[in-house]
Amino acid sequence: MNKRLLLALALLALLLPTVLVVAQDEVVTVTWWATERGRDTAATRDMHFTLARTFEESHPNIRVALSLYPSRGFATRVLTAIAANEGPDVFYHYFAPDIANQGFLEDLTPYIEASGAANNWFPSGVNRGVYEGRTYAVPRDAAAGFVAYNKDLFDAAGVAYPEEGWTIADFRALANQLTNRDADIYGVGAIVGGEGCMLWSPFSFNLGAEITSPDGRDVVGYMDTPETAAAMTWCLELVTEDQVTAPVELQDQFGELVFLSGNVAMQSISDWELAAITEQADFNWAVVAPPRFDENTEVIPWTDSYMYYMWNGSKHKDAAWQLMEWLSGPEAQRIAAEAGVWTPNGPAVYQELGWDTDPIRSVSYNQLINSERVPNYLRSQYFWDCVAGPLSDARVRWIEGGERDVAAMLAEGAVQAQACLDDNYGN
Amino acid sequence: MMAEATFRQPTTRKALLDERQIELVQKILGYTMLIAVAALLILPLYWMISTALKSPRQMFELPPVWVPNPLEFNNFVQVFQEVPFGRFLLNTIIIVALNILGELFAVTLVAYGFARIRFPGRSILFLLMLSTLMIPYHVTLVPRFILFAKLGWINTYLPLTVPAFTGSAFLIFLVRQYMMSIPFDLDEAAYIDGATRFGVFWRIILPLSRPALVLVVVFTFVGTWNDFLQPLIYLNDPNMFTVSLGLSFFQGARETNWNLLMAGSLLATIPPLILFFIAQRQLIGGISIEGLKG
Repeated sequence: MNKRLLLALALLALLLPTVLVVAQDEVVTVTWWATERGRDTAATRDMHFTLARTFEESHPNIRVALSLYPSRGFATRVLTAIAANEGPDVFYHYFAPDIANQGFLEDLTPYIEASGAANNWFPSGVNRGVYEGRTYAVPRDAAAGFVAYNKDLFDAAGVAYPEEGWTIADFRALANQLTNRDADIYGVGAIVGGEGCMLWSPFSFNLGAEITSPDGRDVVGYMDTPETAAAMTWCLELVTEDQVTAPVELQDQFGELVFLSGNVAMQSISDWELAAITEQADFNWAVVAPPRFDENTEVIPWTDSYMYYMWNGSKHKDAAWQLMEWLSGPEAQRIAAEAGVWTPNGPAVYQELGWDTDPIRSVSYNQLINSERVPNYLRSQYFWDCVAGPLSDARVRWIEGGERDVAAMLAEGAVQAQACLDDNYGN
Repeated sequence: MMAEATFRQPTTRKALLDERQIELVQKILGYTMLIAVAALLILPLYWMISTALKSPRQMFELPPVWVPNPLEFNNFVQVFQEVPFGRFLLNTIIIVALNILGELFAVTLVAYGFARIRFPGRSILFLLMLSTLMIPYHVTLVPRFILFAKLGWINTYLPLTVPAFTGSAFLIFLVRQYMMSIPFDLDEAAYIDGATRFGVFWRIILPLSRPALVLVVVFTFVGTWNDFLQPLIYLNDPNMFTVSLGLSFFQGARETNWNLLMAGSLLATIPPLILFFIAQRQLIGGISIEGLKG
């Protein structure tokens, strides 16, 4: 009996290390699909692989199968795979938060609460992933909006540079002062469309207007208010009355970064455009915080982020979360920032790199630390189908049709947009 | 008579000169128009070549730079540095070759069946096959993905090549129409000489269908070469990507490397151009025959 027991114990002692080694060596593979919508270069792609390999070094039981795709068609790639139950564990994209109601995203709230990861991120990055009180995404980066200006054009016109604390009235006055159409010089860059000025720029908030409710479900009561009509009128008057915006031909040639032409004195840009301007501008330039509404108000930051998502069909959710937490954490953020690919999603890395005091980066930093609001177009996944069209119609009717009753046009557009949103949300 | 003849001669010469002059003017006008239209058609290609040789700064200059100075040949080198373009080219050539092989194999056999063999339900089957042309590709995207995923074919070239071996409905229709225009007397003569059904296909119908087969090759080549969606959907490993996917890396949502995109596009047009020059005569013959008899 004793001999048998001893034999059994001996066998167990022999097997135990093997079992432990097998358990320790059980490696899971997490799939991470990514794309780069901005500067898709070999350097940005290499940086992704650096991130994956660095993560693996500190997480030996997790392998990362990284797939990089061109941005064109990336959503089709991801959604087709998810529909076929073959989705990636982790991916990043640019969805509005209410994409969560489609049912394929993992609710990350428990993971975030347990890890306290959100404390590291700028406020807008946190808000950007929240839908109905639950968090479905974590910020890949953070970008703020501000105004870039061509110092050479200011010097040539003998005009003082704009300073933080300026107002939208100052902006307009400067745009008029600097415009010299005979010399092909324009005060303002790519907000020629009118609705562009209202959407993807810090003007959208600092003109005192909103287009949708915070949850993105309502436009009536937002898009049709006197404040929004006044804001839209202000944007459109820059084009037709003041004629200080870069002409369409110049914008067609340069795309969003018409500032690079050297013929534009000021342009609303974000961190996502900084790298291109740094590399390509052959004139002296600087940036300044966006103008506030008037002397009695504070500037309202306009910020944005790409977001990491976890597919709720993932078979390795804990490992996937570890990857997401690491990617949105300081180590990965520092690697990306130092590679010049993304701007950090939280203040710690800014401070560590000294960017919080850098003449250019600090402008962004000061916006990001005070950011709360999510841009209008990121509040509803149906925004572009329902709201952007009617908003654009008002611009076309003003510029091409010569109509001037913006309030009536926006009221009409708001009704259309609301009907479309209600239809999509099933109200 | 003599006087009349002498009298008429100068008139005829003058009339001939007039005709020649008119012909000359017509020719000049005709060629001028042709050159103008050709220039208009060549313009985008020229702009592509010109942009491929520009520096980022020159791309945006006003007035537009038609002849870049200096010529940035380095853009072509950079294309290969930014993405493994050579690898993408090789991958695409392999996929295209397999697709051409598959389509030629399947299309000719199926078309022969529909064109030359009488069997019960032939018309219904043919209509059924034609009706598949009406189904938009995107409708079948997810089911196809599920099928290939279940087969374990994701991230392999199998979903991009194996379907070609089942034939494309459009190409089957095209070749079947062509085969139907070949006289049945030829088949009968061959049968009398002891040929089998496959023998008639191989020795009579297939050689006579060469213009239609050239079209199959060209359509398959161009379709596969330019295909973006399928490689995007089925491939995960960037080293397995194709040219069309590779070129898309130069085109971000917010920023596009126009000079590299154009340099890459220029390189990507070379193989189709070579194919066109090789198959030009037969291709034009094929189109004209299809137009007349199809």
